[in-house]
Amino acid sequence: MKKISLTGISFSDVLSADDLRKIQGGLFGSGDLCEKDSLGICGGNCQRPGGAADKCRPKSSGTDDCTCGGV
Amino acid sequence: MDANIFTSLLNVLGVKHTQTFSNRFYNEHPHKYNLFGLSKMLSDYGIANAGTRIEDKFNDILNIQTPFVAHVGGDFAAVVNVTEKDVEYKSGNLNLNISRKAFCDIWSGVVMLTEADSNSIEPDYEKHRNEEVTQRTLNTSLILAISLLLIFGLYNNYHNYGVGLILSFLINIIGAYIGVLLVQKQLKIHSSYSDKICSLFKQADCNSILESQGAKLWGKFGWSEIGLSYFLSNLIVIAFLPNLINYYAIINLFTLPYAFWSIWYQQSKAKQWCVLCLIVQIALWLIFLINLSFQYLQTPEIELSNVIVLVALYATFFITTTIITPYLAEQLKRQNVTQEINSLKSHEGITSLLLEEQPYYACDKSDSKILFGNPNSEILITILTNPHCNPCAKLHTRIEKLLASGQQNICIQYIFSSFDQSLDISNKFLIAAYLNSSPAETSLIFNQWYARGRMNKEHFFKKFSFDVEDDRVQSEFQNHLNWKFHTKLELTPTLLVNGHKLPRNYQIEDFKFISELKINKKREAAGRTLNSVAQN
Repeated sequence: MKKISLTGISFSDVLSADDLRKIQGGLFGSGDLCEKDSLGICGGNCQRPGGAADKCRPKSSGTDDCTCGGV
Repeated sequence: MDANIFTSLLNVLGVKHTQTFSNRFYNEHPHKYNLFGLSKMLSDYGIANAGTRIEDKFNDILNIQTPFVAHVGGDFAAVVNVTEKDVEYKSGNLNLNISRKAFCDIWSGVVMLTEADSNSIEPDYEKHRNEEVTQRTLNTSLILAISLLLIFGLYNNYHNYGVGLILSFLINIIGAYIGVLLVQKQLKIHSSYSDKICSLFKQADCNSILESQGAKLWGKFGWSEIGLSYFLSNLIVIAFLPNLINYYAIINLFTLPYAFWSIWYQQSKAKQWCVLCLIVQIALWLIFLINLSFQYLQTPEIELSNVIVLVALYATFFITTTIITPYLAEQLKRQNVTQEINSLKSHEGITSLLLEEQPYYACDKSDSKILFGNPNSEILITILTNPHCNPCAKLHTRIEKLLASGQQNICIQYIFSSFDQSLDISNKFLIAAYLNSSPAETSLIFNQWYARGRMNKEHFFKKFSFDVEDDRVQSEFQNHLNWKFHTKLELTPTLLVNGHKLPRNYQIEDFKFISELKINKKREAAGRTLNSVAQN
């Protein structure tokens, strides 16, 4: 029987909405993120959490954001 | 399509959902990048959830009920299974399995516990499913219809042109399919097929090539679109215009230098291989070899009409592809732009600032007792509404939906107006209904009124026995009239947020994610002064 579940945790352990807002996702790698370099090319470490390699590429045509995924 | 933490979790939890809506819902959500957003989205699907922090990660991970969301390496992962030895989880499009120790090293300890039950389902699931099924049926029918046409044409010509025609047809089908994958890649539409093909070599990176300068002819026309339109045009020639097969073979000759250039570019300039592009080069050469072997490559007797037909055919496909591709790119970009706007609109500071600049009309909860949602909320949305106006009825339907989603951060206040005195009775009826019924009954009566009841008010009134002449009703009705008199507001529906007119680019639904407004009282006072000057 798993102890840590929705019915098993006490109210005081639950993170508030403000806490949840501060926990951000969508970042990859540690320190060396997937972002545009000085030449405007998406690059940088783009390893998925756990070490699986992924490619750093533009998020969608015409935007400046880079994202991980695809080869 | 790119998998995301939300849809991955829905799949793992076995919650009924449609891929199209759920992806859009996630991608346009103002808080898609934080755990609060994920929690809200799960709640909207009726999935119970709560975030917590685990101190003894290595030992306690074994006690957490799966599936759960873990904050790992700066992203969210859907953990599917945990054993003494390893952790199985989904991150983006990848299914990963690493040792428990390695996982705990990258895990911040933050976890979101989730639990789905029989009521967990996508909002309006049946409607979205029908839409998705219709769309899929249309897509499949279109492919089927085109395939039948092509096969029928090919069958008719096969006897005269031999097996070479069928071989050419197959190569062009492959070419067209690869063309579609290349265009998809150029548009950043994720496809597991193209990713698999592109990963065949170690030094392979289709994206690098497709995003390089060489990917476009004269910096304008993508080779992917040119390739796709070329192969599609070839299919039409083979199936319906086989008498022009010699022209087709000559056109193919002109494509061969491109194959050399492309290989040189990938090897010498980009120093990366695009496997999809290489398949296209192979297809071009195979077509050439077939043309050579089956003697399609002969100098035809040039006839102007044939030349015109072919130019028109190849141009039609090329121009259509060139027009459609940027249009699709814009459509895809729209989701990002929507998310960015939503994210700005859900920012409490920005919303407060924009509200401050709007005209202010003094109002509080004593101006009308007709309150819905959380009466203790700091956000009071006052709506001057008319029981007989159509836009007010439409707005009520949206409010009904908003409140049904369990919003606890807002309080909705209705203040009634009417077209003329003969219709005041409807205002009094709704006030009486509110004052004499439970919240659930009130919602039901209001919903029925705005849906149909207002069309035949006498008939609707007869279903209930409310005393509209009751003192409390009269007093409340008078309060509404007084407020209208003081504010001079007439138009219905008028929406005020803590007294400030709703900014034009906002919808009432945007307040779903706002729990607090920090309106600068000095500016509010200035707004009041300006407003009173304007009114005088």
